[in-house]
Amino acid sequence: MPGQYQLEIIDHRQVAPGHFELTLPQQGELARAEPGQFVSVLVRAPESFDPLLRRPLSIYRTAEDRFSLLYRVVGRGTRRLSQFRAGEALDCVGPLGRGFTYRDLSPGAKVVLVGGGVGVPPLVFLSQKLLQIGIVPEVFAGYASSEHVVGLGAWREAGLEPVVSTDDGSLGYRGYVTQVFAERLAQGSVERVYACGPRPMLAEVAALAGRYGVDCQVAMEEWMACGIGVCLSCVTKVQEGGANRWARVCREGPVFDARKVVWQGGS
Amino acid sequence: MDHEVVDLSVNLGGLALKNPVMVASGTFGYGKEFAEFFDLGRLGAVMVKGVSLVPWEGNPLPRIVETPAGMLNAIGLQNAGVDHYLKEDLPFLRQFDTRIIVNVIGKTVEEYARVVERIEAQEGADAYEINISCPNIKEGGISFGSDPALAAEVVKAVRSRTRRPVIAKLSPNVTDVTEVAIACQLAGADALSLVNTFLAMAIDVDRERPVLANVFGGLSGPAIRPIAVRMVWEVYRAVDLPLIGMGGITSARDALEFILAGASAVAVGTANFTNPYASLEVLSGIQEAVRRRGPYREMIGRAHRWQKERSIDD
Ligand SMILES: Cc1cc2nc3c(=O)[nH]c(=O)nc-3n(C[C@H](O)[C@H](O)[C@H](O)COP(=O)(O)OP(=O)(O)OC[C@H]3O[C@@H](n4cnc5c(N)ncnc54)[C@H](O)[C@@H]3O)c2cc1C
Ligand SMILES: Cc1cc2nc3c(=O)[nH]c(=O)nc-3n(C[C@H](O)[C@H](O)[C@H](O)COP(=O)(O)O)c2cc1C
Repeated sequence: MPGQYQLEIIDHRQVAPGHFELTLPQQGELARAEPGQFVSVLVRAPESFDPLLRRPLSIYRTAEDRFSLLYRVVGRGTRRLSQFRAGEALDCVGPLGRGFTYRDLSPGAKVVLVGGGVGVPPLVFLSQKLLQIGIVPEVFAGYASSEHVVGLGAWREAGLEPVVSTDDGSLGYRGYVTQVFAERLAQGSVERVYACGPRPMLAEVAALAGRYGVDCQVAMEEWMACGIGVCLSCVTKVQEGGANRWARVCREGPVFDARKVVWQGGS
Repeated sequence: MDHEVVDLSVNLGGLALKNPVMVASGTFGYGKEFAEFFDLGRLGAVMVKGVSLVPWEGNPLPRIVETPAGMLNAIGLQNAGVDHYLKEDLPFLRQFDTRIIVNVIGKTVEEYARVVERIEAQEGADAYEINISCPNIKEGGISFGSDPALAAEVVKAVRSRTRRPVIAKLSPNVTDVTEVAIACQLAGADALSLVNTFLAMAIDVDRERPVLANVFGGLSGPAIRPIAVRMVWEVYRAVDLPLIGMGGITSARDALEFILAGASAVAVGTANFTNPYASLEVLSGIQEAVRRRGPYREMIGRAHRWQKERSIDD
C-alpha cells in the first residue's frame, strides 16, 4: 500500500555530471518497497503550482534506516529537484507500482541484469535483494558515454563487476549494451533476465531473450500524471489471452513480463 | 466547539449528499486506488470515470503534457464499458458510504440512453452526470456540449430513462456557457456540473510538432480556475438549478470561490494527482469555514450579494 510521506533529506549529492543521488529516511510502507517500485516526488516550491505534477523515480538502493534515488537532470522538474538541500523536506508518495519478481528463484540461479543509462537504479536495488537470497547476478550496463556512468560504484561495493559499454567507446566496450548481452546469452545457461532502460533497448533485450527462450522482466517508463493508476496517461499495450489491451505502467507495471509487452506500436 | 459537527449536507436536485465535496470524473478512476489512501465514505460523492456502452480504446500516446500550473490530457475516454463497470467496479464502490455518480459518455444520443438503461436495470448509480463534451459522430464529430439543441437532446434522452437525478456536465468550449445551461435546464436536468476541460494544445518546439498524439487536449488544473469560477458565476445567474463547481480546485479556499460564486457542491479533479488527500483537505477546510462564517447553505452564491449591496448603496 502506498502512502504520502514528508521526508527530510539526509544527503543529496552529484555523482556524475548532471546525475544526483538523493538519500531519504525510511518511513512507513516505504521500508517494504521492492526493486522496480518507484516513488513520485513533488518538486515544486510550497504554494507554487509549477511544475504541477509529481516526478516518478525508482528506488536505487536501501539501507536499514534510509533509501536513495538516483536521477539525471533532463528538464525543469529534475532541475528543480536538484536544488533541494539536505535538511529540507521532500513530499513523496510510494512505494508505487509492481516491482520485479525474484523470490521464486533458487540460490545460485543464473541471472543477468541489463541496464541502460538511468535505467540502472532499480537494477542496483534488485542486485541487493538477489545477493541476500544467494544469487550473484551478472551485470551489463550501458551508457551514452563515460560521463553518464552511474551505479558502477554501488555494484562494485557489493562485490559485482559489471560489464560496461558506452555508445561512444569512452569506457568499456564501444556500442550498445545489447551487443555484449547478446554474446552472453549465446553462451547459454541464463535462467532469467531483468532489464531497465530506454524502450528501444528493452525491445531488443526482449527479442533476444525470446529468441533464446529465457524468462525476461522489463521495467518500463511512460509519462505519468497521477502515478497511482487512475488517469490512464502511462499506458502501454500488452498481450493477454490472445488480445491486446492497455496496461497502466504505474500500477500493473512498471515491471512487465517481456513476452506480454507489445513492442511494435504499443505506445 | 472545535469538534462540533457542522452540517454540510446539501440536496442537489434530489441527490442528498452528506457533504458537498466530490471527486471529478476521470481523476479518481472507480475509487479502488484512492481507497488505499483513505475511506471513500468521507466524500460526499464519487464521480466515476466516463462509462460508455462498449469499451473505448482511448487515444495513442503521448496522452498528457504538463503546462504552466496545469496539464493537457487526451486520454480519449478509455474505459472498459458499462458491463465491466457493473460487474467489476460497482460492487467495490458500493462498500462505501458515499454517493456514486456515474459519468455517462456516448458517440450518439442512443448510446448515452442505453448506458443509462443498463445501469438503471442494476441500480448502479445514485445519479448520472452526462458528459456532453464527447464528439457526436453523426454530426461530423462536433461536441454535443457545444450546441444547445444537441445538448438538450442528450439530456432529454437520459431524462426519459431514469428518475434518478440527472446532472449535465457543461463544456467550457463555447462562446456563451449560459445558452447550453438554459437548454439543459429546459430539457429536464436536475443539476449542472461545470466545467469540463478547456480545449488546448502544446507544441514541441525542438521537434516542431504537436506534443500530444491527438494534437488537441483538455486543459485542467489551477490554470483554469479563474475562468471556471467566472462560468459558475454566470450560470448561477442564468438558471435555477443547483451547480457543482470544478476546475483547478486544490484547497478549501479555491472551493469557497466556487461556492460563493454559486456552486452548491464542488469537485476536486487534477489536484487528486498531486495530493492524494486533496479532497479531504478541501472538506476539512470547508468545515472550518462553516464554523467561522455560519451555515453552509447560506454561503452558496453569497458573493452575488455584494453586487446587490453595491446597487443599493449607489
Ligand atoms: C516508473 C519510472 C521510474 C523512473 N525512474 C527514474 C530514475 O530512477 N532515475 C531517473 O533519472 N529517471 C527516472 N524516470 C524518468 C523521470 O521520471 C523523468 O526523467 C522526469 O520525470 C523528467 O522530469 P523533468 O521535469 O526534469 O523533465 P521534463 O522537462 O518534464 O521532460 C524531459 C523528458 O522527461 C520525460 N518525462 C517528462 N514528463 C514525464 C513524466 N510525467 N513521467 C515520465 N517521464 C517524463 C520525457 O521523456 C521528457 O521528454 C522514471 C520514470 C518512470 C515512469
Ligand atoms: C486525466 C483526466 C481525465 C478526465 N476524464 C473525464 C471523464 O471521463 N469524464 C468527464 O466528464 N470529465 C473528465 N475529466 C474532466 C474533469 O472531471 C474536470 O472536469 C476537469 O479536469 C476540471 O477540473 P480540475 O481542473 O480540477 O481537474 C478528466 C480530466 C482529466 C485531467
